[in-house]
Amino acid sequence: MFIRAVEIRINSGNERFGFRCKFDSGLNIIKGRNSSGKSTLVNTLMYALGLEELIGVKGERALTSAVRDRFQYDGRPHEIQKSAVLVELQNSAGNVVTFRRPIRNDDKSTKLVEAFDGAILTGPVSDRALATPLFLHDPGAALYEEGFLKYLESFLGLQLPRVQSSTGGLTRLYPQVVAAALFIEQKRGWTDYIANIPFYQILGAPTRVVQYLLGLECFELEEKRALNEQMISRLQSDWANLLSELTGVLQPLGIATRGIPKVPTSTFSADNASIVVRINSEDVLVSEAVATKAKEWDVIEEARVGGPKSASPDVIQLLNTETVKLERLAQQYEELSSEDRLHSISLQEFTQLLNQAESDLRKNKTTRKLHDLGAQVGLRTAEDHCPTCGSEVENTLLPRTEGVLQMDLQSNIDYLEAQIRMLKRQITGLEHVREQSKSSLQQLGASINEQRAYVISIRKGVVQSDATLEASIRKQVFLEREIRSLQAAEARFSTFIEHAKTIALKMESAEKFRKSLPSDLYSETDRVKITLLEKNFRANASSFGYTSAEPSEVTINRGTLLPALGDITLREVLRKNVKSESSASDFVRLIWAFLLAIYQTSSMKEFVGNHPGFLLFDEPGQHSMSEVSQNALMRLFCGAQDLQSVVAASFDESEDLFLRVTEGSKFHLIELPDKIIAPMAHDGVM
Amino acid sequence: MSHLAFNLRPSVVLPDHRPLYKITQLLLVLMLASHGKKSSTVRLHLFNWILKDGARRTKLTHASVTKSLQFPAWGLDPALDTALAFAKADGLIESTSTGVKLTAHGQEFCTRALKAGLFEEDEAYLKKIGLTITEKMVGTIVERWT
Repeated sequence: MFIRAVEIRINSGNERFGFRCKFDSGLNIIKGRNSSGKSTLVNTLMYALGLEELIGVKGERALTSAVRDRFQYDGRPHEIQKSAVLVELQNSAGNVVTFRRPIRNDDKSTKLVEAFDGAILTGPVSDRALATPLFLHDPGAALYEEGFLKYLESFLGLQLPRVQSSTGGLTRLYPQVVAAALFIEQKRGWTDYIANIPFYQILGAPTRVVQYLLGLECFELEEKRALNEQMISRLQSDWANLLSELTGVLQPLGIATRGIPKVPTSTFSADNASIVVRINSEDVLVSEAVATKAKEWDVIEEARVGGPKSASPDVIQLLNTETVKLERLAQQYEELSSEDRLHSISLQEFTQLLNQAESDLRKNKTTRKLHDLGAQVGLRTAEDHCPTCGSEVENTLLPRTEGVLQMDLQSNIDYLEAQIRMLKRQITGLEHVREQSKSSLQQLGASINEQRAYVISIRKGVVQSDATLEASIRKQVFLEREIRSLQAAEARFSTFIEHAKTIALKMESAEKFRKSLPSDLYSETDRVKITLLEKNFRANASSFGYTSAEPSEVTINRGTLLPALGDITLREVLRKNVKSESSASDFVRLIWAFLLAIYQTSSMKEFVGNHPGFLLFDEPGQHSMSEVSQNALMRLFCGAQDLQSVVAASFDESEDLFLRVTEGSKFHLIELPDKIIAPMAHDGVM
Repeated sequence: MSHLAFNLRPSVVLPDHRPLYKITQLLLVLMLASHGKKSSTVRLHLFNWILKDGARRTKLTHASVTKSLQFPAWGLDPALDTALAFAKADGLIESTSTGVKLTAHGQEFCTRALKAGLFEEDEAYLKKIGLTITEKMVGTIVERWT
């Protein structure tokens, strides 16, 4: 990534103002007095690339009023009618694009960035040419083609990986997150290794950025692992659903399962699974029970058929048709009663939901009354304002989640009331259905009894039975019903076993895959790169004159990828004695050494990483940093091949200091005038 | 090509997370179930956690009789700290060396809320618990955490 030029345009009255500067490859130094507008320039540059979140605020409010509202020139204030910033960017393939983003414009939103193909600031392309409109900061800006960040990502050839989010699942490593390791602004930038990462619910964001910039292979492994974990939990829930479905069918029949674990395991064996029914206080395998009962039936049948035969074929015909009718009725009864069971379960669930909603509604109404009450007593919280700062209070005590709007109290009450109405309607409907099915069941039961009596009486006629035979026939009919329901259970069970086998197989491969992953997800090449990072970091730290610890003792922690002493991430180390420099400046040295080491490691020929080859340091000479250290930084910067670096500094407004710090370095100087906003020719197009 | 348009709708908020609801509930714990209307924050966390769930309520009632807490641990809810910060800024409570204390203003607010018949369920429950859950009982558990 190479920034070729940046231009601020301002229309004030009929006059044109602004500032324009070009950047070279290699080291660029922006030198200016305090309050000359150095920060304005740096922040405007970041704003032009949609990175103002790194400064702390989204939108044009991140910029000073000198480019937004009014500025001083010639000793008098000038009101700004329109302003915009343009930046010209070149990618590694040598293609150039110019972005234009409004700062103040009544006709254009500041979420709009226009991309012009080619160089407008340094080349002949007119900005009247057709531009691609892109949007920023709206949901999807990093995902969709019309999104600016997506455009920037593909223009720069970044391939940002998916990473684990703090809410579970995967999220993307957004360009702004990575940019926090490239654009180091002055105010908070020197307080941590990668200080200004905007919050995107990314777990361990700084580590992720380092991993990405170094081009480590861990992301791929991690994504595979996350997907595998998702698969495992899906298998678990599938299993639980299947099992509860099965027991839902079996339980009413008094049948229990054996050898089926609650969660799927790779060791699950279908041979060990069985279903048993309790007969005479003993558990009997269902298949055995069916066999026994069938035998019983056979015995009766044999006796019956073997008995005196006197019935005419007509009667036998009648017996058969009536038996079929009886079976059909019994089947209807089964179907209806299982449907009724389901309804009963839904009814319970709905009632629970209703109770919950009613309780929530009561609490919300209480809160509404509290607001009235609180307002009478003069509570600021009751007026939805923070009692301390007076700003608007969110509707919830939980931390704000980006992109989620919280319902206000009244809409929440309306919502709950609507939900209660709906649930009540559902419940009434279900109760009605259940009443109906109850009476149908009763009717069916009565018909079954009638039909059974009829069938029995026909059979009696058929065999001219005596009382014992009648009892046997009753028993036979009863057995038939039992056998049928047991067989149905067996069929249900074998479908379950088929599914369970598939799940267990998938589980086995998922668990095998889980075991095959290395514990820290780093490949061999990754480990080599991390060692190189450590070497580069130590070398940088000693050339910057880091003194708080022996550079050789400082390591790159394999877990966090941040500099550490022992197991402790290095922050500010307490000063050893009053004579040595303050600890804060030593920490800033570590930050320099670290950010530069990431670039160096990423640009090694054998192990190419993803560093875009750009670094911007705003006022790196913090905390009365020694000249020697600053000089070493400049030398390292201008010695780094393929790195475009930008350093913005005031050098304590001392020309001598500037000369000493830059001694021996080759650089492109951008010297700012007393105030950067001054009359400038441009076509006024924003 | 057909298009789908999605509208972002506000999401439902648990009443338990509404600032004023939580604040008042905590004030009631201070007023009805705390010695000298004072309490440590960790003890408030215990009550906050208890009030969320019927089964926990029953268990604490039991503890108030046996004088010993049967909870090995309880949830610490960040919402509670935010609620306390608001309540403090509104002058409903004030900091003490060991926790927080209900102010006269806070007490007046509670009294009005109870008079208006709000929090009847919590009121009855907290009155039943009374001052039985002491800092010492809470302290015994907390010591085991470290």
